[in-house]
Amino acid sequence: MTFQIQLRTVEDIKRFQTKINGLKIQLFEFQAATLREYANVIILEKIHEKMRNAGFSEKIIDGTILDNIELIGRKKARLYFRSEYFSKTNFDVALAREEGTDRHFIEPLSASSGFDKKPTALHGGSKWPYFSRGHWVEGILALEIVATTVKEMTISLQDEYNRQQNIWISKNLEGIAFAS
Amino acid sequence: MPVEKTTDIDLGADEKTFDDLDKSAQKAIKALEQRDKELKKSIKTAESAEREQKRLESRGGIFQNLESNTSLPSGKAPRDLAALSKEDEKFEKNIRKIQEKIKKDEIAQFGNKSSFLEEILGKQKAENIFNLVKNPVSFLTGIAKAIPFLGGVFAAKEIADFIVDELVKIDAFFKKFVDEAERRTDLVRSRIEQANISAGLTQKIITTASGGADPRTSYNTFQIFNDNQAELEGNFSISNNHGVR
Repeated sequence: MTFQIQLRTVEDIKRFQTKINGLKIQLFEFQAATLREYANVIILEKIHEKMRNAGFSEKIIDGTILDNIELIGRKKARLYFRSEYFSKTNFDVALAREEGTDRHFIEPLSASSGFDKKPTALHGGSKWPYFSRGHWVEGILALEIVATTVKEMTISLQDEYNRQQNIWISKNLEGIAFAS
Repeated sequence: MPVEKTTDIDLGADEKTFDDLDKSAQKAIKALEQRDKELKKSIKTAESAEREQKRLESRGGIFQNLESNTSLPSGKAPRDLAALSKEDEKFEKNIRKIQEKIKKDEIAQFGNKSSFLEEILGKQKAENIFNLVKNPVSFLTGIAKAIPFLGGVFAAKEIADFIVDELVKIDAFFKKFVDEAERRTDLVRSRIEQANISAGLTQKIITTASGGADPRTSYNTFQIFNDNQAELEGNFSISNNHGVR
């Protein structure tokens, strides 16, 4: 979208300059707020929705957030989406759901394993009454919900950001600039 | 290690964009102010030209359409408008000298009686005869009647020289006057009429004399002048003194 600016007198131009300075001051605040708001709505909510559909735990969903927004130079902003949930045994569940796991063998815990002083349970469960010699576990399918959704919805976020920026500029230059 | 995915968004406008716009606005302000100055200057020039034109128009008459830098013939302004210059003073002085000389000659010839000129022309006209130089038509009329006689008797050379000098000066003024009058009368004639007049095929006279176009009702002052001298003198205070005495 381009703007057509109509300036007829010196007073018009001076008014335009004042508005431009105002825009310059508010620019960073606008960029950060707009990106966070629309990234949450467009990308993060979509990730949450997909996770729910896939039967993810609410704990994983709650742990999936838009973390930092980092400015790269003057023209780019980098958005960091993070998904994080660790079990009590320090197992990264969110990562396992995102990237999947292979079929693997669960070894029995022992006093010498260093996890706890006495071998109380398997899988880190404190109330598990059994001791085991270990067993095989099937792998989890890699859904890659975060990666694919971020990739898919970036274009929509970019479009929405551009639209919001035009609205913001035209509102601030009301009576001076006309969108064409 | 948690899941971490990034995406980049193009921000579009940045501070530099606004800085550039600001610079452009500054330039535009300068350009507009410059244009404003030039406009005011040209308005001022136009106003002064208009004032000059009004001043010229207020002079009226044949000077109405003269350019401001047009000099009058022989460097002379009309006598009733111009202040007395050195030349004017000299002119007045010459007249006084001639008047004195005539007076002396009169006394020598006829004794110290009432003025000879006063007898001929009447007191008022005698006093004003040389001042009438300022009004060329009356001057010439008066001179035509009075000078042949005076010139033969008194100060003929001085008077002749004086008249020739003054006529040369006035001549240029007259030419200008006649040209201007001709130009103005041409304005009310069509091009065909102008062509006919210049070819000598038709003749048109524009006069201030009252009367119709019909010959029977038209007012011919020349005829009255020749036929009815008494009426002329009675109505118009014109007297023909030629050949009197």
